[in-house]
Amino acid sequence: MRKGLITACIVLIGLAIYGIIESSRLERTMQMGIGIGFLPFCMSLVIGVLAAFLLTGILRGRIEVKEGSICEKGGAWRVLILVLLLMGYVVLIEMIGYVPATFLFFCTTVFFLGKGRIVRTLLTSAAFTFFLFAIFRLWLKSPLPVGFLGI
Amino acid sequence: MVESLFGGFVTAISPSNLLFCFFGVTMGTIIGVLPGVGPIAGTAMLIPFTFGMNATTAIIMLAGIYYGAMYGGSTTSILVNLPGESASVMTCLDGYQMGRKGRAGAALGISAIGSFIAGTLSVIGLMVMAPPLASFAIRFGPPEYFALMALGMTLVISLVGESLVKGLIAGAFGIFLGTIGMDPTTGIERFSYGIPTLLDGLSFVSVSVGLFAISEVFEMAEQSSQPPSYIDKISNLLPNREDWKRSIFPILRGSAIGFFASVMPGAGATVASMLAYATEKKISKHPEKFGTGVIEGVAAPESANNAATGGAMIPLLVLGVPGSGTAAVMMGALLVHGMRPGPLLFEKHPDFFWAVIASMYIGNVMLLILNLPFVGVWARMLKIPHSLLIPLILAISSVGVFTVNNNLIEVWIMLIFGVIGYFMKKFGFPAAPVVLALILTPLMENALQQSLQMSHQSLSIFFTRPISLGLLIVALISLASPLVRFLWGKARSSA
Repeated sequence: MRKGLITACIVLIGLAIYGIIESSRLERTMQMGIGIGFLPFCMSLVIGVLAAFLLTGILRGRIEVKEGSICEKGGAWRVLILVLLLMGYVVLIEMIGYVPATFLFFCTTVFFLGKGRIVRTLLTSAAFTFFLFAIFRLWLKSPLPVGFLGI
Repeated sequence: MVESLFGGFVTAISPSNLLFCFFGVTMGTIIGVLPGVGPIAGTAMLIPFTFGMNATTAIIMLAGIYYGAMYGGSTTSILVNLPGESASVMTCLDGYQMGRKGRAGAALGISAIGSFIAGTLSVIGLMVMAPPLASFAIRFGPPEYFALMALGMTLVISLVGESLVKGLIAGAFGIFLGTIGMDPTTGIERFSYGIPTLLDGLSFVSVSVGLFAISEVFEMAEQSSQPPSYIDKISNLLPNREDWKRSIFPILRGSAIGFFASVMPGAGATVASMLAYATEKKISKHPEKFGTGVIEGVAAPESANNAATGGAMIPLLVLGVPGSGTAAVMMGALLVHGMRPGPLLFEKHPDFFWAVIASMYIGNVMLLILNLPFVGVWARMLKIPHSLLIPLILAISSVGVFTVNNNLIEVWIMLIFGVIGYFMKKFGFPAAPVVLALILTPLMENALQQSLQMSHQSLSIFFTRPISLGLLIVALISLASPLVRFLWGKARSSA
């Protein structure tokens, strides 16, 4: 947990430096009052100062940090795979369209999380895909992405 | 007032409003029952369902989810010692013990009835307090609005989460995100890098669904075990005479505490339920029995968290300052539907306000019916495996966020904020200030610019007007109080 929080502070300091550099290119004061760079500059400064304060506190042991790992054993892998599956889903929606991409997403995710029961996975995936299609396309009339398959 | 309320009922009982009120309270109960999916995530996730609706129906549905989740949260607390949402944590202490003694039915019954009484009383409170407060707040100019929004933000930052520093970082991060897009005054782009989707700023729907719903799903996926389910039969839901005698005053006290605590931005339902439980324990003749299964320990916190939903509507609808994460999401939904919450809402859209109030009365009756005879159905919800729930939430969130602008970039934004939200939870950074700041920043920046134009670039305008000065002093106190408490504690321990 300690290492993780230290990394988070460093990322925040990096974000603050980026914000300060980027907002320095914008005007901080204008004739009409505050410029468009004023708020992002101030906030980047606040983030940077507070993250540095947090980092110093952790390194000097003045801020207590919970011991142990940040997640359950094997949990990080499940989360990472889920993130990858979701990324694949978004890419597939654009390529093959909403309906087949959603069906494939359900199949892989239910199979991955549900300890691999093939028939059950296929049936629930088909039902869920139809359920979402019915809600968003048929009921709410949302224009869902259509791929080269035409669905 | 009676005439306006009658008009509100006429709107609220139209078939579509009744249907979506029912849908909202049912979804709210489900969200409350399912551990991991809280009211903020549920409300954010279901906003895209409201895009085809008018603002009144949309807010009737979203408010239904909010107070419905408070009812549902108690079910799992009592049956399996697992709070469905954070406001039900206190109910676990005595509710679960009552269940272990074979009195789960009575605990569920008093929880539903107490919630109903508190919910109804808080709607009456909202109805009585909102109009005079609105007529007072109508005098507010840009400096007062700026100070009010600053106060709302500082209260949420200082009261939500475990550390003030982390809360401040989250708030500053939210303000930074709120500056992305085209500046409304000058038309100059900020941090949009030529991406057309970012010109209008980050969509609060994508950010809030990511920060709350997707991050919660990741946490759910991380755990290998499924929450326990309840298998015993639930009976004797109606409390007996003795239960009534012991519960009625805790219900009334819990209602008052819940309502007034949540009027203050930042406190919310969780703090309200803790305050109500602590008060009951303090005034009880047998405080040692709390935690062993006393009915007062269920009645008070459950009444408080339901009363808090009505109280939270006051700063949101009357002042335009959301006091909690769920209220911030609802404010975002209102803005999406072209309604600007604040004192002018009463003048411009009184029909909307009274219809939402009337729907809350109706919704509370619906929830009583849903939660007493059908409690067994909700208990069975716990049997839904995570392997089905996780892909369903992810797919609903993705398609919902896509429908905001019919743009897949919104889904990528949701995913990025899902990952950010997951790590924020892990490291104890609160997510509510981010969403609150994201929504309030454009309004706040606008108020700041207008104020400075009024005063010819002088900041003294904020300190020479009594209301804005008062609000800024309270904001400063709310930020300084944790530091003062810390220094005081340190000085005492070293003495």
